[in-house]
Amino acid sequence: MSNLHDILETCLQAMENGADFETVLARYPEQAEELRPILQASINAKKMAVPEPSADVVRRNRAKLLQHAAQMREDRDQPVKRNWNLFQNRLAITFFLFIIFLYGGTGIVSASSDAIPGDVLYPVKRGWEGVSLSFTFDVDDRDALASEQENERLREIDELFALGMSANVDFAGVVTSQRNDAWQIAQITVVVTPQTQLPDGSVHVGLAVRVYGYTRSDGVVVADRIEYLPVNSALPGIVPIFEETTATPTLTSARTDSGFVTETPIPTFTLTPSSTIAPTIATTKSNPGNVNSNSNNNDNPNTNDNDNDNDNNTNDADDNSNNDNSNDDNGNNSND
Amino acid sequence: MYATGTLWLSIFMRVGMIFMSLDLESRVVTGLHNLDAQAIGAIYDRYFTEVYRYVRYRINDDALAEDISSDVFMRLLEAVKKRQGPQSNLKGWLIATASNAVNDHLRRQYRRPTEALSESMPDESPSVWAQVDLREQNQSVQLAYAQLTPEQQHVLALRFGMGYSLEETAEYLKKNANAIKALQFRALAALQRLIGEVAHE
Repeated sequence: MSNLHDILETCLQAMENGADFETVLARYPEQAEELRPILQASINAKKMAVPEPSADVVRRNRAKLLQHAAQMREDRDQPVKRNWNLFQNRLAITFFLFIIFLYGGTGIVSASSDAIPGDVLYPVKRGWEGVSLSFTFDVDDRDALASEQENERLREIDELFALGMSANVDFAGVVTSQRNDAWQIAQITVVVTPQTQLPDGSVHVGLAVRVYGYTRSDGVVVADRIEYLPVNSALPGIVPIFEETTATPTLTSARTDSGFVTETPIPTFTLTPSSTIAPTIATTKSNPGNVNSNSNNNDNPNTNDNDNDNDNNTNDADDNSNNDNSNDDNGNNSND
Repeated sequence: MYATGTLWLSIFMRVGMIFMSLDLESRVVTGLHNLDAQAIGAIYDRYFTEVYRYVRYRINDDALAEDISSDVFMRLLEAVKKRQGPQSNLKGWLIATASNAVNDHLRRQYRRPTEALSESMPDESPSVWAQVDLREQNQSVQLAYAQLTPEQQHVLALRFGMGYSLEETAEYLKKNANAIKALQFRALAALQRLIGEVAHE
């Protein structure tokens, strides 16, 4: 059979090259009868061949195709615009969420501003303070802010005392007196127990320290740990004012040998007949970490020394040679 | 010696033309994938006539053949858009797509046969009469051809409608030459038998 297929193909090629139908069949007399209808069918099949399409058909469909291609090119470029629009939408949503988050965050921070130790939002408050401090790049502003934050610690402790609450606290201040296990640090009574971790070396009056402990309902802070403060650490600028007394905060600038000047509050509570506040600023020189507390205004005529302990007037004569010339701003007093 | 030189020159020229043709095809295909109007126009100019003749051979309807041929090129653009277009052998892709398009049409027609126009309602337009006259001779052949299998129609369209060689037909049908020989033999035998049946009816 495959032979017949080959013969047919040979015949078709011969006829394609112009050979006559009968002549081709005559070449294969044995297969002629079988080939005849097949070759006749091929002639009929060839008659069906159609001419080329008219120029009008070609032109019309060409225009249609090119128009479609142009539309597709336009569509292809559209996704870029859609993507851009999508990007814009996402950007807008992100911005919106950012605003919501910002305002929400601001709201939380704002709500936490009055938090005291033990409150749920208190960590937010402390965290925000840390952020604020980190993003304050001006040295003076940062010192002021740190000092303000230390004031806030004292205010919180004051509030805890007022509420009779016990909570973990920490604050910085200068040791102004040491009576047995009750020390006065930043005008707060700190109870030092045998369990209190103290820094290596002695803690004496005039040192700036940070106290970690907890408040007690009787108005004292029980110290868990007391650490020295580095020389240039911030200290509260203004001491808490208790309602029972009229306080006259006295700011003392302590000059260190390194040349750094910290404003170390040596609080002096003064009961005055009137509520006039007479701030006293005394400048002293001291060794690093030591604060000359000789600026207590025992001779101030406006000063009632019921809040001042004479123990506060500790002069470290060995270390300070210029501690005899502190004056208050009023010029009322010189302390020899 | 002279004959040998001529032979080598002929071989070199043919090889060179093949490479040039491949390069041109490659550039055209690249342009097509970029939806370049010039490339698309070149492809259309080069292949539309062949596609139309193929379709028109298989479907005895000018308007329908035009629509289907046009649709083949639209499908080409859609395939390019979906990154499924031909990377080479554009002509083979177009002919194969045309074959599928015709098969789809015939399938639809088989499912929903349309009623032929009655002779009592003749269309009086001269062009239609001319077409009828032209086709009357081949009417029985057309009717018989329409009853062949799609594959038989396809091979006859390529061999006798388009005039493709055995090798070209084998390439487009993705079969070897012997298979095409057998297929065309059966197709022609069936066509002749059906022509006889149609003539008797």
